[in-house]
Amino acid sequence: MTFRSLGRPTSLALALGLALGGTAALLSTSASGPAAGATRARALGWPSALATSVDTPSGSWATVAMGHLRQRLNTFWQLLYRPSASSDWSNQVKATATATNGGLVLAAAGQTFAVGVRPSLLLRFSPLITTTNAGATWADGLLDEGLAAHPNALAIDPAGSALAVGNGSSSGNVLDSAGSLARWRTLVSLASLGSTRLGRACRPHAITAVGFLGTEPEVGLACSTPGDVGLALLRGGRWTPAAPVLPASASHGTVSVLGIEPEAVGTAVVLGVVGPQDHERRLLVSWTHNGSSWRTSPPLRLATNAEPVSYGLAGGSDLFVLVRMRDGSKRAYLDGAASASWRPLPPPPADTVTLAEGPRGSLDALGVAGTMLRIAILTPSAATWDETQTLHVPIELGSSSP
Amino acid sequence: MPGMNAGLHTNSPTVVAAFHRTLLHQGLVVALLMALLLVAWNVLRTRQLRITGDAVDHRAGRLAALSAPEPLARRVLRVSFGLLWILDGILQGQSSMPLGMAPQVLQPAAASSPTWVQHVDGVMATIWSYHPISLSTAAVWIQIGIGVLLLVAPRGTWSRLAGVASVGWGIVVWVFGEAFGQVFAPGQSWLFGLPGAVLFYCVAGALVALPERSWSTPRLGRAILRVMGVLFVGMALLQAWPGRGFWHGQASPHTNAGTLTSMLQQMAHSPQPQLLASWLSAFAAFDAAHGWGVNLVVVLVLAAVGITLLSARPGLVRVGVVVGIVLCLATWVLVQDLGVLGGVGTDPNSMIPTALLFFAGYLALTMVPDVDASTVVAIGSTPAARRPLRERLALDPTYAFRSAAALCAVGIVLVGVVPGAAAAADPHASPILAEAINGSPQATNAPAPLFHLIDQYGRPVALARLRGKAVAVTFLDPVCTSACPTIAQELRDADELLGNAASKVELVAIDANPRYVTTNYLQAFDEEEHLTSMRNWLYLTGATPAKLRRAWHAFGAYSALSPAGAMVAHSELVDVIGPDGRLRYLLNADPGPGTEATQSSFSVLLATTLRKVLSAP
Repeated sequence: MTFRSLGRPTSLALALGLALGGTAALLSTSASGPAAGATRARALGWPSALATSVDTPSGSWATVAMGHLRQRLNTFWQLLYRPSASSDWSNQVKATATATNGGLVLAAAGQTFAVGVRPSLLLRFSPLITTTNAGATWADGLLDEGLAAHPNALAIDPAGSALAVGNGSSSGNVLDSAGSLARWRTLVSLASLGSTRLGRACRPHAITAVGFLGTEPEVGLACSTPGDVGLALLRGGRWTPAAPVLPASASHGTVSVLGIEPEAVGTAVVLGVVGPQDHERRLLVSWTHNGSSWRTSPPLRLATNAEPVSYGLAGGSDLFVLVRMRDGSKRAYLDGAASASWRPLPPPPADTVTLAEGPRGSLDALGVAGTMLRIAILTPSAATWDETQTLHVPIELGSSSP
Repeated sequence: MPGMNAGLHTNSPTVVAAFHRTLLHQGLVVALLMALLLVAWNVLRTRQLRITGDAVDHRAGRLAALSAPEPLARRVLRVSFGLLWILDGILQGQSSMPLGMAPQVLQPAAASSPTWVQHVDGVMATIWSYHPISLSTAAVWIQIGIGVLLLVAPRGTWSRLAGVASVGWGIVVWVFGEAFGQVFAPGQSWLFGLPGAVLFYCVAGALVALPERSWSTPRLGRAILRVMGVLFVGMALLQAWPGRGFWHGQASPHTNAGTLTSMLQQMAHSPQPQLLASWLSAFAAFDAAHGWGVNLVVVLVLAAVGITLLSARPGLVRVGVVVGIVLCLATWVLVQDLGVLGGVGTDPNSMIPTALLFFAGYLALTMVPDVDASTVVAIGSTPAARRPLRERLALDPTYAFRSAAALCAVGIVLVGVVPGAAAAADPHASPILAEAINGSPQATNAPAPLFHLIDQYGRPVALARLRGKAVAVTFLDPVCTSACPTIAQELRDADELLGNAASKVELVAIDANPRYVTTNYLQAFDEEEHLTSMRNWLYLTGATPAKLRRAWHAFGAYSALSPAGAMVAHSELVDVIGPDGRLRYLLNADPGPGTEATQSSFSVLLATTLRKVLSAP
């Protein structure tokens, strides 16, 4: 071996250029990681406020999510029942006999109460169960596609007909059933609705709710055209627009029908309006008995980052809205058909997830902390909510995980 | 119970035992190869002694004297990377490799990389998860074989072949095992192993594979050091780039730790000797307090080493190499945790290969073989491979042994490659996964319980009607969200695996949900799981829930409504009934993690069991 002299530096600049170029390439690939753009706006959407309650003559039913709510497969929806004569709630979810991680959708008409189980994990259709005797016995129905994630994706009428918003097609469709809830047919698809006069004006991007106005099927849509309300009635075999006129302060935003709540002689329609600025969000309720004349509440303007977490009927014709504020606290409002104006309620407990009709004209706030359910009551004359019941729910965490 | 599966743990005793058993069997093959090597060497040596007389010995001695020794730099690379490959092969023999490789090495490596990298690596992760034993043992023998080949073949074709094999296997490991060295992942750094340890193995292999005359001038050494210089300057720039979390430590325990601090804290908690853990903790604390300063030093040293290597000035290069090696060793201990401690270590990480390349580059630059040009030309133009065997045996006394040893090393590689490739080409998973979750099928011999139920179309079905066929009976909930759809797919896959034999088999499920007993639920399940086209598929329910319960009890199965929104709890069994109507095997059908691999594995196990029943006398 021998030592040789080292060569002179020749291409230092070229080498440094290579190093710079390589680093830039590494940095550029680093910047385009999978996280980029992951959270595109849910900004214009509304949360799926599945937690809700319905009333029947025999009692109140409610559904709430419990467990580890940040883990989809450890979130278990419960089915709660309070008989009219009692102030105590009990858990009836065992009646569903399946995993409820996808959520429950409730519907009632007279004594008939129906529960749709939203599919989750590998289940793609929706089991349905109905009772006419306050849960003493249950009958099975079956929707052979999944129920959409809207609190009013299922509706029944006293005559026995039913409507459902299914997610079988990419754009969603409405199915109807004549009685048994075991046989369904497609009534109309989003695409078909989009080609109607109503659809051409509204440019709907989702079917969000179904209901009955009398015996006429009613479908709610989320519209893309600002100021247009997507609400259609199947009247005389044709889908006809049947929407309220919005007050001027809400007429420049895009409107989604969030819910169609049945009441004694008509429906209450919950409308969510976004815009004209993205952060401007308002809620309205419109009441109708016939689809042509409407009484509409003034807009309930939501604070920035506040969002509705539950809405439903309470006390026959009052509609409640539960709003989560930016700091996690809750605000509740009632809007009655008679007044058509928002009435703020005393702030419910922070863990409240829905309201329901309570005994003797009171309201119940159902609060959830993990596997504990807390009930607080607001009597008509009270200024505060009083806790009346706690219920431990024995959730089998991990039981839905593959 | 659904969701309450036994799971598939990394150190599953069944899999570990099978892994060790396979390694032992293949080790015996390797031992046999070595025995053959000794015989072959003996034969060649005898022939060598016979054909070489004094005259040839003189000639051999003359030519041997003319032959230059292997360049030192090349020898350093060949021996050191040979030893590294052997070490890597031994590390691949860890018990946790078969089941730990995919979830703990392959998937995490690709997790932060772009989707296309995840897709590429996902292919290997899938293949590995299907055949964990075959691929683990393949990796062991391939790496040991390449290492041995590098060690025993110092010159000529075998040696260059070792270099090529090192490059080829290194690329496979770099792409699939290291997700392209994570060069496409954000937040990476030279400190953490960028651009991937195995890339250095590839470089070393490529250098060994070069024609030997390449080492006869300092040009190669200069090129090696320049490439390393470019790499280091690039890594310094990357390390200095703002916004990547390297310029801060951790102001207080309640604030976010910097990238390096966070990594060090994580490493300090991994299992390892106390001394190393305390070093890591101390360095983590130091970096938390002086994150900016630490990064400045790293950036400056990386840049300085890179620039000195690029300068080509002897004094500077020497300093740069020494500083670079010291930096590598310090990083190896303080940041890379020696590469193999904590988690599933498959190699000592990037710092040792980097330091070896520095050293080899420096040797190639400064210590070139002292031979005259004519010898170089003679050696280069008359490769040993072109000489007749008789002459080669005569010229080199060690030729016989080295050739036989090289053949043995190639054999070791093939011991890994052949079963590994065969397994990789098999689209069906090894049944060992299902056995690890549920145990082996339990043989039995008893009269099968009789049942009279109705099928998914309302037709009555009795077991007696199925006599003459092998029958697999299981219990499925039509509204189950996880386990039952998986078991149904396993049955469907088993049916496909049976091929023509499927006509002699009936696959039967009995409704396991006491609430949903109507046939429309069974049909909905069949539609959902694409079972409607299976001619030998029956999904049974009772005309009344009581009849259904009787069927459960007859098979020793249970079903119970769960509280609080959970799935119905029920037995997950498959009873295999022979054509004679006797119960022959009981299989636990817990789908475990329910991955494609475990699903396929259970299908293979069931199909095998059904074939066994069909072929029984």
